[in-house]
Amino acid sequence: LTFKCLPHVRFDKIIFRRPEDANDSVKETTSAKVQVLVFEIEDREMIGGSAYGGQKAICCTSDLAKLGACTEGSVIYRPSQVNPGWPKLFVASFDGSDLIATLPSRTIPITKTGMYNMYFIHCDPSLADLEIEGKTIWKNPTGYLPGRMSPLKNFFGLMSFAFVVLGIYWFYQYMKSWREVLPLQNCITLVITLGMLEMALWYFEYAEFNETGVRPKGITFWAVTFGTVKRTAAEIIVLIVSMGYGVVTPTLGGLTSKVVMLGGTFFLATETLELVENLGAVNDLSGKARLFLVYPVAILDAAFVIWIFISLAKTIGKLQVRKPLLCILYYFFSCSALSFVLALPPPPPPHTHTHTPHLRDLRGAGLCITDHS
Amino acid sequence: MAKLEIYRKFAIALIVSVLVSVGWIGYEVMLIHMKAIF
Repeated sequence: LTFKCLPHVRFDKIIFRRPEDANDSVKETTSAKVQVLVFEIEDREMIGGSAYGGQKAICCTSDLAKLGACTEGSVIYRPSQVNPGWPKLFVASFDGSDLIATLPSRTIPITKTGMYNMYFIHCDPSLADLEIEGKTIWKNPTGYLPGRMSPLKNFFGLMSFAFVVLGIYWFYQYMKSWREVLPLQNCITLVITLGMLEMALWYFEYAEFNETGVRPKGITFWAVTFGTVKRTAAEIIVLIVSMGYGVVTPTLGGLTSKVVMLGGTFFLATETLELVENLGAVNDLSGKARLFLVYPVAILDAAFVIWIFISLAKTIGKLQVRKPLLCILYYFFSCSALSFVLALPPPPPPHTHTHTPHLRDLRGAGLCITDHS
Repeated sequence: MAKLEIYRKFAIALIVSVLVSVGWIGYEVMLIHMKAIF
């Protein structure tokens, strides 16, 4: 029982299944096998080999076997010099004409901090259509959260606290001047409330994931939805304030439908991206799928920022009719900020996506206060 | 004019946030390029 608390990697009832039709041709071969290689990232040079320094092969071919470096049909690896006993190799064999090979359940204790990898390898062409079933369990010293996610639990705990402090401050200000509250400020209250809920939900999501090893889909869904509503509302508020709504002009006139349309599209794109990225997902998304979803969000986000700055320049221009020089200066300022936005670098390569919480999340709430002052 | 002052502060806050965001993106991209895994 105490063993359960220590970091480990565990295979649980892993079954390999080979298709029936392939079976006839391989009946004669002695026994096809699937090999499971577990290694730490620093030992990656110990895996695979090549005869004459060409491209590295993971499987031992007959050519390499003739050189006496390895046995044909098995994985090539050398023992690690830094981690004695690693890499670890496990084998599941298909006996005779069996269609199923089972990997016995097993727990590998992890005693050294590192980035561990598990490869399922077969060197037998007859196993090309192999199917794999079962689960692997990865336990870190602090819980089941994957290493790249474990700082997020503390981050969202802190953010929840920060939002509570912000909420108290906002509520205090709100109460102090409740007679002159604008409808806009009620929207800001909504954004802060949604932010508080979002951060708390993310915290509970990661706490639950850490405890059980399974991502709770319900909590993820609501965290994503609250967050997306919050972001959309925050962007729309900043945009309509920039347009002068409630301060310079009483209505937005014909622009309302355009604002609603941009907001709606932004909401849909963001919600889709975040759901695909987080709902029940433990691994990173593959490159192209993610890029396909990231670009709409990035473009719509940029559209918001550009529209905000254009409207802001117009509004300030209107307020400052008597000082044309300052007005031009402001226009210049906004335009240079715009060109910065347009020159944004492309999003980072997806496979190294680090899940750093976006600064954007902080922006919505931060600006609301400046707006109030 | 009070309204103008509010908008001046608002514009500065927006510009600062955009610059900080761009800086942050640049920092992350730099990090990724410096320690590319696999």
